[in-house]
Amino acid sequence: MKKGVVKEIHPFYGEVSLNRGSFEGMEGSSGKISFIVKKGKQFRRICFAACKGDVQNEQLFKLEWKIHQDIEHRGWNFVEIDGRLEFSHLGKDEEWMNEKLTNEYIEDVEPIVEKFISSKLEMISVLGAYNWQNILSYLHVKDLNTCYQTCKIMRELISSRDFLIKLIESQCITLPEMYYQESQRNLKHCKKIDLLKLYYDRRDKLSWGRKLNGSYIIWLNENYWKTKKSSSSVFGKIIKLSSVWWFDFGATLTLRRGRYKVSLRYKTTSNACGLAD
Amino acid sequence: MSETKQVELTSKDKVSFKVDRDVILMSGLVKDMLEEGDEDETPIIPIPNVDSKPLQKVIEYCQYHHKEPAQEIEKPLKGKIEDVICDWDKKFLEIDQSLLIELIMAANYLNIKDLLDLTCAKVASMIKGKSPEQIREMFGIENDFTPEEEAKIREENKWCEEA
Repeated sequence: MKKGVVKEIHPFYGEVSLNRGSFEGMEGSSGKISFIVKKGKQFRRICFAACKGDVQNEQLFKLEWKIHQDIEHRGWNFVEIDGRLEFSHLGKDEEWMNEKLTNEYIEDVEPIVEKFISSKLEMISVLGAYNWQNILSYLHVKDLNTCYQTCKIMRELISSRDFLIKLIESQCITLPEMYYQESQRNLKHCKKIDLLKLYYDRRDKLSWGRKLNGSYIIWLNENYWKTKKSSSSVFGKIIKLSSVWWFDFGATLTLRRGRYKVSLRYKTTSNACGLAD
Repeated sequence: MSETKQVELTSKDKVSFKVDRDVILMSGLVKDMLEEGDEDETPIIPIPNVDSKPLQKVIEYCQYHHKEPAQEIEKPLKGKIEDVICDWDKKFLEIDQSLLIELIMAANYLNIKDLLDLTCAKVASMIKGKSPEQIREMFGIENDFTPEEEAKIREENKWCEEA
């Protein structure tokens, strides 16, 4: 075997080779590696491993798909030796955990990911920036402020663009699917100060109708009113009125103090009467 | 009647678990692997990053939730996590902190979103209402602010003003 190459026969995927030389820079610190291959338009993470100083053999898999050249610039190193591909990728696994991330998007968070991995604090390095972001995204602003005061690395994560976008997406007003991609694009181009303002202004308000304390529609029994799925509604569904003599509906909400607009969206059909008049 | 297809998972400490294929398909990682495998065999899948104890808990979770999909946990958490999850999940989370952390890592590695969300929300719930000192103590975090920096953060440099 060529020096510096780890070979392993994996019971499920067969033989794979990995260039050990690429890991020498990781000596003495913990690192992570992902094997990502591109198949069609999809990136697939088929292996994920933590290594400390050395590579653990059992995590190696054979890649049967063609590896596209365009992943090379994303930090991949691969060479072909005797018809066999040897490839490696240093750390930075978290950019691959979310396939939607683009280089532009991770620009801000990448150094933090590295800092988390190499942190001397066990709970910080073990969980990593990605899991900490997920944990923090469940917290209210008061508790986020508290976490912000615990240590520098946590402070850096909480104030990063990446985390702010995650918070806005998970805690602020949710838009219907058709508008979502557009708003996501807009968020990426927002300045950090604007993201913070957006989060502060719009957090914890009504989203998806899940915060309705109680709602009722008289005659909603699939005879008079029918429920239909619809991406055009923020609630993901619409109610169609077939026929009824009279109707009544309402809901109660708990909201933060502020100014709100209440609206009722309806659409009439060609044979509708009463409401159409 | 055809026999239920099974998969054998091998943990980091070389303990094997036989589990129904339908159950473990909750794991995105295992699902990806099985797509490429031979349908007729009982595939052996090494899970080299997960010890047997958390792996057993993961299997337990999948066995329950593959038929009873978990409810989404709303962000931010209102109250304690126990107020928003089902009784089964409450009992499932009655574990010590080190196993909880191992479960987060296992759920992350195996790509089981619902379990990752549940365990992360549990940690968030533990953080709620605590002081910076208590959070540091809970997670063994060192206070690396100078006294001056700390005073400055507390008084005028909050990340986001409270309502």
